[in-house]
Amino acid sequence: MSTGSTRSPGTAGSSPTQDLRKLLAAWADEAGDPLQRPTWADLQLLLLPLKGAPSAFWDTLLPSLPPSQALLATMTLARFDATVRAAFLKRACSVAPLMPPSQAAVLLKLFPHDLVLAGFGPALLAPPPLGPLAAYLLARLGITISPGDLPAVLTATPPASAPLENLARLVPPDQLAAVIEDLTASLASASGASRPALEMFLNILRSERRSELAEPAWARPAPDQEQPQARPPASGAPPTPRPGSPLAQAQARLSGMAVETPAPAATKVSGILPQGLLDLASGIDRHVLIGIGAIVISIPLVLLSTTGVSPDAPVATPMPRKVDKAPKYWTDAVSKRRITHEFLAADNDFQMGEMFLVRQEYGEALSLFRDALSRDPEHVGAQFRIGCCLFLSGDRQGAAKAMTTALEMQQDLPEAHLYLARIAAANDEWEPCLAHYQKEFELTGEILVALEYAGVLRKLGRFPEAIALLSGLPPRFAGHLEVVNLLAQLRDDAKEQSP
Amino acid sequence: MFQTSERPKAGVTLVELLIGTAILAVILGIVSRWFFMQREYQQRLSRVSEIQEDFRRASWNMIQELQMARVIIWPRINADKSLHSDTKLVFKDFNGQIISYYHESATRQIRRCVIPNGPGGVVINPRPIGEGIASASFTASSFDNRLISFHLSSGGVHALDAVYLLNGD
Amino acid sequence: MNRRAVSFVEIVIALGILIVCMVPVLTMFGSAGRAVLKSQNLGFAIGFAHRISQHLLAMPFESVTEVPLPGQPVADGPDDEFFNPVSNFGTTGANALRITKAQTPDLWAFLRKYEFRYALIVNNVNFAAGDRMKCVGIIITWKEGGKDLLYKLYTYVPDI
Repeated sequence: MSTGSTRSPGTAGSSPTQDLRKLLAAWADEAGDPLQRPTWADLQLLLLPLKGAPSAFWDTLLPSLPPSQALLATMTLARFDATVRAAFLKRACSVAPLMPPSQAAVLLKLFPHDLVLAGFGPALLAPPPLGPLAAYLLARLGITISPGDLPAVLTATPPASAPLENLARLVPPDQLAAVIEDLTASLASASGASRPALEMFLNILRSERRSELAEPAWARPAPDQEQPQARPPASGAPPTPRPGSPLAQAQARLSGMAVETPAPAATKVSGILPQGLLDLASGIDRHVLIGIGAIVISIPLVLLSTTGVSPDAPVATPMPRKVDKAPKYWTDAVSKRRITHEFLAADNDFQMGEMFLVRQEYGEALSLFRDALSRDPEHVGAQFRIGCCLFLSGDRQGAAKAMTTALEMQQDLPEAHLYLARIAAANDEWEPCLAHYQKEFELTGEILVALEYAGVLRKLGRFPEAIALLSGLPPRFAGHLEVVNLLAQLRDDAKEQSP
Repeated sequence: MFQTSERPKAGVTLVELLIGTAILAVILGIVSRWFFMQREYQQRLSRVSEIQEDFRRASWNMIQELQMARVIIWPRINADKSLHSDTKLVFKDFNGQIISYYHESATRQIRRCVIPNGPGGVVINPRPIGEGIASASFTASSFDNRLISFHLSSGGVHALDAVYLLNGD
Repeated sequence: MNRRAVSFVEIVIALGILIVCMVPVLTMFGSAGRAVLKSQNLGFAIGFAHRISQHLLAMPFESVTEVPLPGQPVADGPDDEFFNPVSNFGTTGANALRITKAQTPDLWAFLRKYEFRYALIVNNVNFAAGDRMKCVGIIITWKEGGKDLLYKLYTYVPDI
């Protein structure tokens, strides 16, 4: 997890894509304006040169990232560079349906409203799931749209109360009455297909009480076994209209990108200022000019504001800032481990995987555990469960490798040696098998481990060792029926074997 | 040839004494105040620790039995569908017996008794299931009478927990 | 022979420095107290999380929705299925007690002091038609000694 220190990209031995992923993960963990986060300085060195990369690159990279990181990255690139804004906003729209809507809303809060509207405004015209999602996100962020675009959006919105409720919140409150009047007038001429939605929408607008924001249903897309991250859905993308068509005009308006006439102020200014000054200004860096301008304007303002202030004037105290932001990390009260948002997401995947594992759906469980591990490479539980899934699916080699990795992460991991012992037994590698059983028994002292271990020793004809093992069990296990039976069998076998 | 200087006489002036005493008094005052605060703090913490232990024991005892119970008989949701709380809880346990937990504020205990389904008196358990509890309330939280929340408090320490009846009728 | 004596002021100042230096050593005794405080809050958080998990089992399946981080404060929180109202000794909803400064000052003060909050991370899983479950992560957070602490409990809510 990033601690705010500067990391130089291109660490020896690692690929640029790996560095990019690591920096993205660290950057996503930090809080605040994405462009002001400590890791942004390093990340932009990697990310900005790639913004003009072919579409194939981004189509490969984005699906392999956690959706939250992909959304954050695409929106930040869109914000940073106007030349690629449209492309990255479109990519953001295809990433947003891959995560819970509430999570997407929290991320989008970090960006200016006009940017979010530019990206998700046109998406209102898209079919579900993107269209209703866009309505929910804009409503959640308190963004409104122009009433003139409502008919086009209504045509695209499914006639269900939840999306229409969200859409109702996009109407500017001061224009509500006018909208109701216009829509009522158009109700008479509405076609049969669009009439139910229009009527429902009007009822919602007329009712004084708004119900809670309706979060669209979101189901985790079925992850592919090969690629743990879900691919962006083929459907649900904003439609690409003919240029000049009403739909294209609606999209343009919804994005807030009205055609701008050449700024008359610029010509006026250029007419007022001497050409020499303009030539000089064009040669100076824009940011320096802004800074100089700010200083030149602020000094007189400060001087003006500090004169004429009465000593008895009340001092205006600033409103206390309401802090409602999650901290960057927490400390687990039980394990004292540092818990980041990324760890929580990883643990979430892990718990989901446990559910599938119990249901014996090993493929789904495996991809979820891999997701968890990709988000948090130190998640020992996920690594261990990958080994379990591979073992139960029949991939013993993969399982052995996974369990060994898990043991490297945590030497005293319970059950890892047990699985390794079983794998070795299946491969007829008896000495490693017995070594692993021994280690597991020393770690956990479990009766089931002891019984399995004794069973293997019996199979190998090593009866005295097996008898010693079972006889040395704690008293609470000594009377266990299986222990008693196995001990009796072992003694009989030992008698038969001895001359 | 050799110069001898007159050795100053050893002693303490009044000013030195006063300054020294003042410094010592200030330092001792700070330290003693800190000691008293620490002692009070430690006493409070050991009190809190005991109360927590009492809560844990009481919660554990109640949850073990309630989890397997069949239905909550009292308290029940109000007619206007709002929650209803009481200092006693009556439920039917797994074996069909009617059991009550009730809080005695005088003795600061939660006690258990069996209410017979027919003739006969109430049989009170000799040992309380919770001790050192200043107040306890049981709240009916669901319409199907399968969820009971409870709130225990004592000496500024609180415990909020709930039990869902797994064997609900 | 020239013997230098120690003045009274020097002795006092030396004693004072000694006492001041002893203070950090003596603060070690406070660590036991901090451990008790930690266990108090952790025990409370565990009960909180258990309470939420039990309420989740009683709620309608569709009502189990996400409460995103940083979480909902418990003191002065809105009416929810878990904590507010906390009790009601009357026969109508008008008598319900909520965790506010006016109605439950003691509990409110404790919860506000440590800023207890709860969050729910909800994942829907459809195994088959009519076989749905929600994997719910119950996150209890609070502040203690300048640190943000967290306790998590995962539970699975079936659609029965």
